[in-house]
Order: sequence, then C-alpha cells, then structure tokens
Amino acid sequence: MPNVIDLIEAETKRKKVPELRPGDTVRVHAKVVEGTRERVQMFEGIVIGIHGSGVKEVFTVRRIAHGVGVERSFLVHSPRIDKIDVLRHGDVRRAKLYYLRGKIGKGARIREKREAIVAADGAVVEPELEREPEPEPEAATETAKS
Amino acid sequence: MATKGLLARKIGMTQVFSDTGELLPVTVLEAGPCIVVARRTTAKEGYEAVQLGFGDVKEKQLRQPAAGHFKKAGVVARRHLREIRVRGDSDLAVGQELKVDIFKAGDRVDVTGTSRGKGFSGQHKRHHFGRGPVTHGSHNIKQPGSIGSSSTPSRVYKGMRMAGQMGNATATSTFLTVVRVDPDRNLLLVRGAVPGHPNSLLLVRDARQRGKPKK
Repeated sequence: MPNVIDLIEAETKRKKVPELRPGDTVRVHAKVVEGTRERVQMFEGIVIGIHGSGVKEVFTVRRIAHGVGVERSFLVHSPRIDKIDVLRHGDVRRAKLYYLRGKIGKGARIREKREAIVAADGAVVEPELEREPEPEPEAATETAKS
Repeated sequence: MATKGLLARKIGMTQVFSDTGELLPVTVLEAGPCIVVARRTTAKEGYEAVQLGFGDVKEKQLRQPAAGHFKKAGVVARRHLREIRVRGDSDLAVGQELKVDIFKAGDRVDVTGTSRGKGFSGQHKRHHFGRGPVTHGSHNIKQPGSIGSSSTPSRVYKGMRMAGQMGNATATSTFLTVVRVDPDRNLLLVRGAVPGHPNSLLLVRDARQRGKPKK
C-alpha cells in the first residue's frame, strides 16, 4: 500500500491554491456562520507571513480597518475559506513582514512586483500592471492623525 | 462489554478538517477485515467471546497447530489472533468477516495496544515527579525524595512509585471519536492518539458505556 498518510493529506488539501507569498495583497472569501445562516465575508490585506506546511499551512493577513491594524490568520486548506484572490504581488525581501506593524500610512506600503512570477507548478503568473493602486489613503490618514 | 471490534494496524497520525472546518488531530488505522476464527461460549469455555483473525500470512509460515486451528474453522489463515468479549446473544459466527464499516463516523471506540517502550526510566519521566533545585550546591536534582517514614512502618509501602520499566505495556486509549470510515481502503480515522508505534497491532472496540446512556 502506498503511503496512506500522504494520500489522506492530499485529499484534505485544497485542490487549487493560488501562488501566495509574503507581501501579496489578497482578498480572502471566508465563510462565517451567523446563527443558522452562512455567508461569505471578505478580508482584504497584505500577507505578512506564511507558517507551517502541508495541511496546517497558515497565512496571516494584515489590514488597516478604521485606523486600527487588524491581523487575521487563515488555514490555507480550510473548507471555511471559499476562495483566495491574489490582487497583486508585492516586492519584498523578507519572509515575515512584521516590520509593517510599526509603520503607518505611506511607510506601510509595499512595492508591486513587476516581473512575472513562476509558480511552483511551472505556471507563469503575469503581474497585472494595469491595476490601479489600492484606494486606502483614507484609512492611512486616519492612522496618521491618531 | 464490547459488542463489536476489529484488529487494526496503526499507520500514523495526521490532521483532517471536520465538517465545521476545525482541524482535527487523527490517527489513521488500517482496520480489518477480520474473520471470526472461533467462538467461546459459557457452556464450553465458561465465558463469551469471539476470536478474531487479522492480517495476511503465508501458509508455509504457519506451525501445524495454528494451521489446524484455521482448517478446523474453515477460514483462511491470519497472522494475528485476538479475542474480544461479547454478549451471549451476539450473532457473530465462525467464518464471518468483519469490515471497518461496522463503525461509522461519530462512534466512540476504545483502542488497545502495546505502548512504546521507554526503557528503564526515572521517576520524573515515569511518574511526573518534580525535581530538586539545580543550583546552590544541590545534589538533589533527580532524586526521588522521601519514600516513606522511619521506624513505623519500617518498610516501604507496596506500589511506591519508583524508577523502572516504562512503556511496552498494554495500554488503552478510551472513548475516542471515529472521525471517518473508509471501507474501500479499510481505513479508520480516530481523533487523538493511540498506543504504540506505527505498524503495531491494535484492538479497536466500541467504547464501554460511560455514565447514563442517552435517551
């Protein structure tokens, strides 16, 4: 019998995971249960770190909501996540972007990666250069004032 | 008393998601198929049980008494034999095959096996004793402490926890939840850890009743 553990883990994992890297701006479609109803909630922000591997791989997304920094961790393969949209790839030089926590406003921006990214499966992800920059100056100025 | 059970092989541990999206630690077992090789009855042996056989074995590896035992039951030879106690009115008969589908997700099971051997271990590891101070000239770091009073009773009580062989003993993980049953691959996923190393032989039984049965 082949390695059963590997088979089970392969079945547990999400079939299609986008190429996720620290510095990417993502929109996570997370399922939330409200009473008896289930709905999809968006969480958009910057991936500041990816932890673990295999089934328990986790990524942490940071965003500024109403002038307050909010970080949320998601299991990459969790069935509670409907979809992960990668909006843009960031050009960063470290694996954990914890330094963003101490920065506000303009300092917390991340340059966009301008070259094509080669995914693990060989697929080439072209950067979407025509996308306009994130419309988040409101939140940023609020933080700057507070 | 168990009403049903299977012999199983521990494969290892991993994590799977529950229906609600929780990540559960599970042990993967290759459970069954098992064959009822013999039936023990109150009338003949004085107790009620079935003997289960599990695992492939080559005929030529069997000693004659074992080969005869399987021949008498009219079943194919199995590598492992274990008995489970059942009720007298159990409908398990010799030659019957039990597969993993006797369990379903959500069932509670007890899993018995031989725990991993830890060798001759000190009190700290074996009985979770605390240790003495490590500094200030202490020579009491890993000592067991007092093992009793002096002239009364002038002896050490039986069962005093001391260093000795740890593990490699029969152990049971009780009341584990069955997370998933895979009849095609004879797999049983139970939540939590079970005794023993991978590939060790385990006995999976439906859990003993605990507390008042639910209405």
